[in-house]
Amino acid sequence: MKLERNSRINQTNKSEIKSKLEEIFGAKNVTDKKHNLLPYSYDATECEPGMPDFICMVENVGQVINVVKYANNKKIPLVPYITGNNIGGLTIPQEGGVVLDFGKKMNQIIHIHESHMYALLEPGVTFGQLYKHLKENYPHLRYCYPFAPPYSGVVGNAILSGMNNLSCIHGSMGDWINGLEVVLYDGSIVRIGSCFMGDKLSVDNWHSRYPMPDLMGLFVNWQGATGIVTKCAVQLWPRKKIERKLLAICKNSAVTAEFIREIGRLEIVDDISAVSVEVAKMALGDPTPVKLDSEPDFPVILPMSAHNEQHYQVKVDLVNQCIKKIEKKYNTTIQCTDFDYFAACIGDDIRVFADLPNVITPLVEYSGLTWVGTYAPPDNLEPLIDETAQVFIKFDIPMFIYMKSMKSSHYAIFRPIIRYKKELEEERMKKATADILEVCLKYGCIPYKTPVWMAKRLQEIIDPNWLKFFKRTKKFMDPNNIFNPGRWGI
Amino acid sequence: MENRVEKEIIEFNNPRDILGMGIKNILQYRKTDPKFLNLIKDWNKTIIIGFKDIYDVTVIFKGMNIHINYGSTQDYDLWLEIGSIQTMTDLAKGDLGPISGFLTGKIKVKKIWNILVLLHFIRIFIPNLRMAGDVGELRQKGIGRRNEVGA
Ligand SMILES: Cc1cc2nc3c(=O)[nH]c(=O)nc-3n(C[C@H](O)[C@H](O)[C@H](O)COP(=O)(O)OP(=O)(O)OC[C@H]3O[C@@H](n4cnc5c(N)ncnc54)[C@H](O)[C@@H]3O)c2cc1C
Repeated sequence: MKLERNSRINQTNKSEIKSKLEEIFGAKNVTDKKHNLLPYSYDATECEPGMPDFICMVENVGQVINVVKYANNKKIPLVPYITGNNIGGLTIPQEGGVVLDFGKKMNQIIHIHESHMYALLEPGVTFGQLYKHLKENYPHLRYCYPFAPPYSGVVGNAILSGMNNLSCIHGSMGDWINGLEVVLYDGSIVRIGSCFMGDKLSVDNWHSRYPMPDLMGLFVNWQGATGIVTKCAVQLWPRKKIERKLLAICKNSAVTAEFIREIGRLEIVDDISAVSVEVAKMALGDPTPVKLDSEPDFPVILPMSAHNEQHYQVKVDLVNQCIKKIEKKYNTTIQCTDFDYFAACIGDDIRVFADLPNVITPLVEYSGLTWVGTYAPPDNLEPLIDETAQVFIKFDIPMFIYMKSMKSSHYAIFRPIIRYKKELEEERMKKATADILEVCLKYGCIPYKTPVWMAKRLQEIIDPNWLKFFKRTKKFMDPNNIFNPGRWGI
Repeated sequence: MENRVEKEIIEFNNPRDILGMGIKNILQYRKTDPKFLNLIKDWNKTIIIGFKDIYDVTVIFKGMNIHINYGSTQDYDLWLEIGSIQTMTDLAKGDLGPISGFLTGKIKVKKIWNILVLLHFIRIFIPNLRMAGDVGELRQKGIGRRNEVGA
């Protein structure tokens, strides 16, 4: 494994940089020891590793301002890092430099505004932390949870437009950001959203993102390449009295795709998460599952919430009516029942997909984990499933597809996932993910949390004017290319 | 009588189909209960549990072994068809009893003349399914979930 890439930091001025970093962060928060750097040099994916030169544990905004000013002056790369769980190699340094770790010491829930329903967070807050805080102190409010482990970052996922268990009603997490505080390349601080009004220390003015020009786009999905976020306000939602789930089982790609689209359009379920039956069997203890002929292809979990029993029952009836229509159209049967009781029958372990946040064991039990996670046109789910299945077969990998309806089926998530043994199988998996990417691109999918190698492939087919504008924007936001350089393959 | 099998354990195979895994899970709810062990021991019967519109699972009771196989066989003592996974969860919840299941056609039986086998299997299966129902009820109330705060 080749770790040393061309770091921009040359060995001669390393000790000078170290002294400056120690001055900014305190000696105990700075390290350049190889064994400390190593965990930041790779992730679970096939993305090429790369060593940083320093790790700094960030504690406050002042430190961020000082380090950015210094780095900009010296053209030193800064790689912002929370927990590195993005599954896209997005915190692997491409040109060495300083990893700014926000996960360990800059992780306060600054404020929950109960009536305006938002949480003001430091970058390092995790899903588990926010979940526990709300449950214990604001049980009438809720946030969303992805399939990601509870120890992964909320802000990291918001600024990467992650998807979660409220995505069918509310869409991508990027849409739910009310405001950001960001340190720009020259060390100035900018506050985006309604927080631009009033006292800058106020925690009460983070209620909305519009109606001014939406500058949030300069930071969302940029993978830390345009500025350093130091605060982020995320929308919370009222928690309804009843929160239950339905479980449906669908037989083939056409039926599953229609089910995801049509149930999404009903606008009554919080989320639709479809996983291949193989994945359900992984959770139930089969390490190398194979789909048997008559097994249904996709179990689908439908989290739903309602104000009371009557409201819930109306929703269930509407889901069942929609199912009847699909059954008729496709001459099929879709079985549907209460998830809690189904799970108790089939095996409690299946709950890993439902009790979020949670460690989804099938996702983390191998040393390697990768996926081609995409935003997909809902109409193309059927060929996507069928053609991706062929790639899984070609590479002899258990089929693992995860799909969602987003924002009432305006768009969908299509995410084929591969678990593998990192040392043994990486080369084969690289080929498999490359093949899957081609299928996805063919059907108009756009990869999210885009690894560099995928971004480079994307650049070959996208509008060149978009790319030119994108590069100009990066140059404007980061003239010395210090913020996570190399991301998006530019 | 009960002491006779107290120390014995039921040996299960590892079914690799999803419904077979479920049947195993249900049968395991009372796997250490001496009364249950007595019902299982040397029963030596083959039962097919069919899930309508999905597929059949064959459960072979032999000595202290329970083998759960994907698909069906010609050589069975009883064939029970469960109308849907909703019927299964209704049985678990207690919203549907086995008798009303038969009467309403939500559960169908072949070789009904083996009434003793049917009754014996009901005594094996239904209390376990009801225990699953209890677990489902707890989970619905938020008890024992994997994300339970303070768990
Ligand atoms: C098993 C597993 C399952 C997952 N399932 C899902 C899922 O279902 N849905 C989903 O959406 N995600 C999922 N994820 C992805 C993951 O949870 C998110 O991407 C993650 O929460 C992002 O947070 P992080 O702490 O990992 O951020 P990091 O990976 O540390 O950072 C994310 C990005 O933000 C940048 N960044 C970090 N801090 C800052 C800052 N202060 N300012 C500016 N930029 C910054 C980084 O440079 C990087 O580009 C899953 C991950 C795993 C491991």
